[in-house]
Amino acid sequence: MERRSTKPVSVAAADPVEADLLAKAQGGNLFAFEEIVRRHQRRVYGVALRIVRRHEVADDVAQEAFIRAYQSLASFDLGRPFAPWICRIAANLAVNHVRSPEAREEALPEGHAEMPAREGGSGPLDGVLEGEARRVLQRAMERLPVEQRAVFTLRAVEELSYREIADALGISIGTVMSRLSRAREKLREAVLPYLGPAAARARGDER
Amino acid sequence: MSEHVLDRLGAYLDAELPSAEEAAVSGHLRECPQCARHLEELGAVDRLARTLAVEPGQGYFESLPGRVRDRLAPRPKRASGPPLWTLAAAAALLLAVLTPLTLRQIRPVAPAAEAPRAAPGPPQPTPATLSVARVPSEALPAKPIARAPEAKRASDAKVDKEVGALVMQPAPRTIPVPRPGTASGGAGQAGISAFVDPWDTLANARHAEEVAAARKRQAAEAAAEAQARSLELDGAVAGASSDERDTATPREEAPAAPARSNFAAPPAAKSASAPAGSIASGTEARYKALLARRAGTADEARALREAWRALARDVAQDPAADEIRERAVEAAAETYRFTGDPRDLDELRRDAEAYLARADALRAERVRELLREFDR
Repeated sequence: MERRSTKPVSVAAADPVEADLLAKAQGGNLFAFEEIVRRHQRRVYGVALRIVRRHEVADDVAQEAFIRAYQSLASFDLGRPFAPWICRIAANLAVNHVRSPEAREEALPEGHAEMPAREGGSGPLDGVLEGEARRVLQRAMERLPVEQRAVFTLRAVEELSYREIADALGISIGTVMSRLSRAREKLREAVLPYLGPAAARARGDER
Repeated sequence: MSEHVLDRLGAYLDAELPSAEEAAVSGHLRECPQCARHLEELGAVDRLARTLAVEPGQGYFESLPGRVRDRLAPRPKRASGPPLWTLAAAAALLLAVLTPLTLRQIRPVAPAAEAPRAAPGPPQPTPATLSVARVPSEALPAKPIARAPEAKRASDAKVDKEVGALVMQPAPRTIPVPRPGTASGGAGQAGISAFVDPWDTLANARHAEEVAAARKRQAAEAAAEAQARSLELDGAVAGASSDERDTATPREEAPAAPARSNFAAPPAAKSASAPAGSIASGTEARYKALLARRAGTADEARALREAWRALARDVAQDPAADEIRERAVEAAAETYRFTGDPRDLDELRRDAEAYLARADALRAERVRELLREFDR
């Protein structure tokens, strides 16, 4: 099977429009920064929601991540891609929130799912099976300890490198690897009943 | 056969192994179907996780950039602000708010239970001035929202302290006017406005200025009236006991609060956010109409996509064309989300590729992101 590269799929620093916007934002141009927010908001919100699991909190985290990014923009190296940086900020805020005492008081009700699974689609799984597999995976992700959920999200979904994840969460690369490994094993076990035929189809569908 | 490599499969999948180790794992995988299958399963889990939808309520992503921006510096208003009719509506609202307030001056303060349904929100100092002075800008949906109480936590307090202080400040006693340089997208702004605000261009500067001037006039009138009223009201409130003053706060905030707390603005309110004041009025009307339209069925979603495409074709030379073209792609994506029909996915790909092929595509990254979302 094809492996993913560690190179983030994010906007490359070479994107001249993005670099221009960031330079203007560094100079205090809020219109430029607003456009930066527009470009990255889905990703940032997605990171936050996957970790904190509640829309209201994810919204707060996303806003706060952009605000912190703006406040630290002066130190941002324009030669680097912005997406991993803002994702790291969001992930850090999200994990800190979930660890906080007040977050523990707002535990999710059983069966709660903020992220409705998209039915159908063009993925490796199809139809009913795919929908069910998503629901099972969704629940399994919600049950993961937040540290594992964050590492899994940043790697599997956002495709950050181990180094970037370690930096974002203030942990060692070894810890990233062990948390990721535990998370993946739990998730694999949860969706295993769906993976036999799915994996077979995935081989055929792999782009 | 070499030893199983299950403990390294994740790092192998992520291409994070040192090259010698990677070669060893590769070698093992060629001869061990068990490890190879395990690797397939790990990869399938990752892929499945990437297909989990992350969809907040309608309108969320339309309002978030503006809300972030407002928290960084509450914007007086943008050149591409609401059209004049919203000011008329705001003026009506102003009267609706002020009339009972003024009447209260000569009546005993009514019990709090009479207050209209007040959306919970942070306490606002100098309520009379605040609610009055804010009314015109409340017509804009992209304002900071009053967060629901269950979402209000200690971290919020910290955020508010750090950066939200501006949001919490009472509104100035006069209504701010557009900052120089932002009102018309003049020469100094041309570069960024090309990226950010397709409606703000030199070609449209005159119209924008007219709108800004008209709004300034109305704002000044409203401010003068607000000032007069707030002075009256301050007198009334000063005469009341402190308890009564507390109950008066939500009452005076009430008319404005729902607009602020509802970032997923209803279509009617959302249409006010349409970049205005710069394009041909017919185009603007069509743009706003499409922006307000919501698809409830697959057919409606497809019809909406066609309508955006038609608008994009018709306004090819308009400064707003890029945004409209990008919205057409978004509509195609929304259609596919709705239907899950592979033909709609093909339509989306076609639209997206056509957009990306343009040299003047300013929102290419967003479109690429959409493609990635569906190509996973």
